[in-house]
Amino acid sequence: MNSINFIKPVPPHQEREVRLWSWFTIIGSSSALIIIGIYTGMQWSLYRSLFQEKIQLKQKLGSFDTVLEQQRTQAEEQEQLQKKIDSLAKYKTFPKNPVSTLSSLRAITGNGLQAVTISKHRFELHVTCQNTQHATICLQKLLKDMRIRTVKLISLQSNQKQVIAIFKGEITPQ
Amino acid sequence: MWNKPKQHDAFVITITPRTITYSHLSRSTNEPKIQLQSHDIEIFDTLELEKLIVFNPTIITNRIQNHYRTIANQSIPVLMALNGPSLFAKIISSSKAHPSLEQLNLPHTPHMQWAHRYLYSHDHRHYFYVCGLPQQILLQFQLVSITAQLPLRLISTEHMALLHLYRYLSGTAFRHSELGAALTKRNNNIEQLFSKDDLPRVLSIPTSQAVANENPISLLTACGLFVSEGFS
Repeated sequence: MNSINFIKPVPPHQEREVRLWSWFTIIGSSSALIIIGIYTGMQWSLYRSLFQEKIQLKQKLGSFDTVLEQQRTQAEEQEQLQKKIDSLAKYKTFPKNPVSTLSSLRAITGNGLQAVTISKHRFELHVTCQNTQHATICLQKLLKDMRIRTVKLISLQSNQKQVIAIFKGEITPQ
Repeated sequence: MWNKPKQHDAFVITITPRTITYSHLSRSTNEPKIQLQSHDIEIFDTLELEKLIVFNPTIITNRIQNHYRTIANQSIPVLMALNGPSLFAKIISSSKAHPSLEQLNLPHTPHMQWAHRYLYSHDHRHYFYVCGLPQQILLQFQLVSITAQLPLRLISTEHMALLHLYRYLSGTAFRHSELGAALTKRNNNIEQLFSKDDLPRVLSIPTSQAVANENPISLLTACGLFVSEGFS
């Protein structure tokens, strides 16, 4: 004779199992939430620090574009200058460069050199000399110079106490 | 090996039209009798409880909860037995040994919950204990137990509890035919199955409990519910 029971209660062992599983679920869910929270917190902290660092770097690199533009302009200027320097150096080492010839003419004539005209291989010198002897010495010195092939004293003009000698000649082609 | 005796406890509530009886029963595995730990009866005269209908659930819930907390300080199962005019309880005969509820010629009452148990056979007729409980009464006592936070395990009828106790007292000598003879002799009155000596046979009442002058049916019902739950 089974008992009449108008209700269907949960058996104690099933109730215990439900309670146990509920606790497991609560503890497991809480642990998972805590772990997720810690991990998310760490990520958030990292994000915040990176964001702050980004703001600081933005502030630091605010004038970077200006500096970069200046640097680019300076590099272009330097490049143009270097081209000019190279060009000058090229002219300096050019075989037909008249500088050496002018230097030698200047050395021969001394302070009396008034005007120089160089056209291709020909040149013309206007030299102020103290007297005719000094003009002759200049002529001799010019003749002795290896760079000058021929030279002629074209004229001697008296100018007060000095003499203006005009020499014409040709430069030895190199 | 030495085995620690195990103790079973139950808090039995017997509800009649105007009274509620509270009994705390326990039994150790090494003791032959059920121990009555505490027993109290409460009468409701101001319509808090009438014909098993709870008209003042607050008072009823508080009283039950207070008794449960004072009598049983730990979480022990609660067993409930109902008796009253709102409850349909009858012994019905049938020509079939295993009839369905429809074959028992029950009144068509869809608002009631029905149950029946086989009792005995006599003259090619089979007799069954049939009981029906209105759904709203069942629901209200379930709500009361939920509100009072009681671990309710059983809601049954007083007669069913007494039938269980009768079988328990008969022990291995129990026969349905003998039950049938006893019931027929007493005009199918289940309360009269018991004599004055039956209660001391099953229940040990301490001297501190003053229950000598009370109606023993409530205690017998409590014992019946206790043994029906397998605590014996």
